Amino acid sequence: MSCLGERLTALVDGELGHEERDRALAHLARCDHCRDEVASLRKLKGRLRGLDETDELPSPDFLTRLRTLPAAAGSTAPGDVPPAPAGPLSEPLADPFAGGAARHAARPLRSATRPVRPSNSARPRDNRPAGRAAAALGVQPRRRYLVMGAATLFLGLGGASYVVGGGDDAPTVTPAFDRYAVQHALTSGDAPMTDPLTDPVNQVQVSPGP
Amino acid sequence: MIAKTVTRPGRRRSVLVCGLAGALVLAAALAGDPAVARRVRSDPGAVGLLRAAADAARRIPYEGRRFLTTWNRSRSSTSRVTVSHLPGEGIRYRSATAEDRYRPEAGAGDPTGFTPETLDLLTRNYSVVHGADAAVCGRPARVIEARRDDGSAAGRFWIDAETGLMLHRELIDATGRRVVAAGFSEISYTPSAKEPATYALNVPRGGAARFPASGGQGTAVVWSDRLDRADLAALRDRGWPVPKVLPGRLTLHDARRDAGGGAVHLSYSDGLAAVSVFVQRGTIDERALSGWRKTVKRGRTIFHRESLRRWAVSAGDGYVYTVLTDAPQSTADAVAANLPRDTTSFSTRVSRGARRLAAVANPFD
Repeated sequence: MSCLGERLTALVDGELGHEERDRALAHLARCDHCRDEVASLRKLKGRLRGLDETDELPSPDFLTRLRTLPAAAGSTAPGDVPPAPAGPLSEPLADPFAGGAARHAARPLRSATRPVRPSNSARPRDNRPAGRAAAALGVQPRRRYLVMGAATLFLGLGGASYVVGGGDDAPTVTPAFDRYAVQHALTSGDAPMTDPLTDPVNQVQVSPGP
Repeated sequence: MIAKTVTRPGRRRSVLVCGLAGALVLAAALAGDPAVARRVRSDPGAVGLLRAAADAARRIPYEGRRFLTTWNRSRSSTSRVTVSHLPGEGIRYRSATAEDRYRPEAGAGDPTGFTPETLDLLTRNYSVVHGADAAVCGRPARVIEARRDDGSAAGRFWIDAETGLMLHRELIDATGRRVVAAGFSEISYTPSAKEPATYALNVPRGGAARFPASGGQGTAVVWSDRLDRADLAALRDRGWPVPKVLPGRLTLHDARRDAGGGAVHLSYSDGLAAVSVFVQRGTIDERALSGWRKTVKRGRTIFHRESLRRWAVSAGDGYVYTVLTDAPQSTADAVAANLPRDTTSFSTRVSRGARRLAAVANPFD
């Protein structure tokens, strides 16, 4: 940022008062940085002027229209939004779907007195319609919310699934101890009597060990 | 110079021969089962007596009382039962208080627990030798000892010198204490023919009614659906945990499937101690295990119960394992702890949870 701030651009645009202009010029004599900036601004302006023969800036009406656009742009399809700086001639380049005069008539905001830019070359190189850019600005935070929401949902559901999926699907069972005891006895060569574990009636003499 | 050239081929040949011989010895040592050496130490006569005892148990009629006693550090438990055997018919068991059981000769497994497989395991893991003769139930008996590598006795069998029937057997732990003893406390080889041969039909029904799920009618029959190697492979393919070996040199020697219950009985043995593992699908119903001791070891919950036999119940991967053995509780616990545990992968768990959540949220369910 230059030391002169806003006044620097005003100087280049020739909008400063006499006294202010003198002071700014005096500063420029001292400050290399500001001088460079003024020089580059002037060069830029000259190039812009060279691109646009008529050298006309967009009307204030056009600016207000730009400001109203984001809301509309957000809700319409991107292909539908080539409203702005293009004149009838440049329209096809900006958007092949954009209509002709009838379409423009339908737009109440478009001023009939709006200056016409006949030249294509006056457009900035990035010929993205202003509305689309504005729409992108409006959608970005929304998309961020969407992504965050999806991520939260995914993680939450995943975590819940992990917690809920802990147990096994298999039903709870109680081993048939009495039958198992008999099977064990039969294969190991003992009397296949029910184990006292499951048969409290069966007397087991419990005595202190040796 | 000439001599050298003459001797060189000869030396080379001798080196080659020596190398070949060494390689052969090495190959034999590596390929040979180390148990072969141990098996040689087993007395074939003693093993033959054990084999004959299994045969005698089927052939010889007898009547008497059997007991099974197990010891742990602080106490012993004994179960007694009256038995009578008629060859070709079966064995009838009567207990003072419990339901009577009848074990038909056909399809009831081996009455001594000695099958060719378990005998093979016995000779592989222990050296089986003759011991000093003794007397049991007032009858002279041949004593056979199964010894560990260090020479200590791990098991003893008393076999009737006259009939060849096994009268008594016991297992001894490494400290020299008896842990299991089973056999006859009285025996007579002249059974009274008073009992009708069809006694299986007039077995009291009370016992069976108490356990509607049990074999029923007091008839004790081994699950007939024996699983061969292909069946076991198929089970493993379906995700069933069927380990071939368990800690403590226990080897799977028999597997059977319950006809209706969906349980699989895996019999493991090291030749002496029999360990049964019953596997069934499901998770443990902890309410049914009130009164069981519950321990958590290395993140695994095991329920134990020690009565006459030693029980341990654990679960994992959607299967419940019931381990049952006469051997000390530590064996049951070690087996239960080493059976396959939960291996549910993260994705399996999440997808299962998602399915459950969907089932809960689904209004049409």
